[in-house]
Amino acid sequence: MHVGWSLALYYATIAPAQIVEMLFNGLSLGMLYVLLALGLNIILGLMGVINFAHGALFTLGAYFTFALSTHLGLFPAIVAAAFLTALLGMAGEAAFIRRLYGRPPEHVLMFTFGAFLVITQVIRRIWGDDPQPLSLPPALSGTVNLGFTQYPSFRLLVVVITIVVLALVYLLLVRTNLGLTIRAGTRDSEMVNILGINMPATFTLVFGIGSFLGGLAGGLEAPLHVIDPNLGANFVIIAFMVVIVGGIGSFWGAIVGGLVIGVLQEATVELIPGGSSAVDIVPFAFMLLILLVRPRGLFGTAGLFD
Amino acid sequence: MADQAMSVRPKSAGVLGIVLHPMLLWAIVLALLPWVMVHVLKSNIPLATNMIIFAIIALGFNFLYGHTGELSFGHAGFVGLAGYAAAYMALNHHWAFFPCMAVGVALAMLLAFIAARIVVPRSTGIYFSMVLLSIGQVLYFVGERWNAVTGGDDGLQGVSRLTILPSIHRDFNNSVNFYILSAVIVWVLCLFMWRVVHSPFGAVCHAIRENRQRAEFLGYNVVRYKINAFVISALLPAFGGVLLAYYNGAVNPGDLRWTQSGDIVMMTLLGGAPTFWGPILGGALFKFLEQYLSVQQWMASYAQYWEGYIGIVFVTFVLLAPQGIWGLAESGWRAWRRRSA
Repeated sequence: MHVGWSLALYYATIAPAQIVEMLFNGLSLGMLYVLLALGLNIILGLMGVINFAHGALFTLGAYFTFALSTHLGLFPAIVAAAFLTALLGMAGEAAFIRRLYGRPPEHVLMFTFGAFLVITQVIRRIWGDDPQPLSLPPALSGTVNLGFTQYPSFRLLVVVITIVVLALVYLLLVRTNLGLTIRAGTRDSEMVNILGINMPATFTLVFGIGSFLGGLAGGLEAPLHVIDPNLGANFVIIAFMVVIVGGIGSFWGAIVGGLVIGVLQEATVELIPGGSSAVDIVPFAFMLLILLVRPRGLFGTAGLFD
Repeated sequence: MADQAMSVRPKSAGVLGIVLHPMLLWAIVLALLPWVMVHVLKSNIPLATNMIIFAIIALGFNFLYGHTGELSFGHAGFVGLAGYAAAYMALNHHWAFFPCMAVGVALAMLLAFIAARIVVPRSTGIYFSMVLLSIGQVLYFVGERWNAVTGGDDGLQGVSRLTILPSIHRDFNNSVNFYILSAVIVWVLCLFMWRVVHSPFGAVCHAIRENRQRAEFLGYNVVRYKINAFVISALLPAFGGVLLAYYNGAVNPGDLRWTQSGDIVMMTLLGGAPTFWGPILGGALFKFLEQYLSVQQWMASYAQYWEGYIGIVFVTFVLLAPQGIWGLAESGWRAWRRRSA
């Protein structure tokens, strides 16, 4: 039979419920990207730092959660892990990254790449290469009936938590003095510094917030995967793509970019025969496409970091 | 960096100039390297081959970073693409070594040209780095998933060195013969790169690195120069990729991964990005340490964390000495000359 006909037949058999399920899966995958990309993007927007180590912080968040969950229980462990990761990020900023702000932007990029390698090897040294399983409490290991599908309840909870965290970050950015400083600093941090705001302290704090989001993403993902030292490496590269698609320094850009890429990946698997082998290329191909039409990303401002 | 930019033209030649020409000294170093590797460092000749291959990969990459000022995080893609193309032609069509090399390099050049035309006019700085990273990752996933052509996870195995110059009746499975062949190719490519860096074209690239806007005001078409610099910077890595395919007898998707691009960046910066010889030193030293440390007894249980150690060294250099080993040596030499003069 002609290829076109068989494809048409294939699409005719897809039920609407399947489409809804696909969208939902895509959005929940996208939520993870959003959480990771937002942490990257806040740091990138304010300080011009592409943080390669973000992926290692994500992995650290997962391992901290794994190590603490036996003592604290899963959810306190996730929160504690995120705070620990934030502390590490702040220490790294204050001790090292701060020295690189006056330099060409590539230097800090290379520094964080080196930091990524070091943290990953430290994780291997402490926890080894073997994947570590993290089991869910029985109440959350079941599924919930959403009407169109049976959905794992923990995954649903992760989506809800992510939305709450995003709302909190949004409120922080638009309702607090710190948020005002961050937004103004993203435009022109030198000027804000001259106006008497302690920018070095703000930088450290913002690096902490970004690392917190990275660690939190790791903790939330930990029970859904087997944890291994390279867990974060692939996720973080996708988060870079999300940042570029959405636009550097943009809150809504990270959200729209992350969700679109998540849905596109899911759609590739569901709608294109044999698409599951192409699923990893989707974020990169999409980013290149966006770059052709909007070099600064969907919500990006021209002139930032040129 | 300013000194480097000012001394773009070699000083007057003369007999002494030819005898002491850096490329001639480099040829002597290449000739002595196997002997040093075996007798002084108690290592082996295949490692010497690996070292000089990575030396030219880093040297080519550095034309874009150190000389023109754009950091690519995707150059492993050009290395890998050329290697894959050569290996594919060798295995499926039984082509000889040099035609395979031509195909591999031509394909990498084509990709570099297309990528440069798309990326260079649209992005610079950290955007540029990220976009190149994503182009490299596309190649990586194609390499990993397109089983029919790339062999998927296993890559392409069984690239034979017997197809190299069968007419001269030399066995290139012999590591000395293969080293000599590689060294000749490496030297010719280094000479080419030396000519490019010290040409008027290279001088404009330096000007763009130092001050893009000023170069533009002087009337240079910055975008065109950067596109050309980009394509040239992929040339040596492409040759390196083909040599690597024959060196390893195989290609695999790991060669294309973004961390491999990161290794190239590390080699270059450790050696010394603002200098001509830095990346050559960096590439060779990186590969030497990687393999040398892994077989040392005192390193036995720690060798597996090699990436962590080189990472620590790397971040230290980024923080304290971004001019790299060669840059440090150059400024030390200059200070010593000044004091003794």
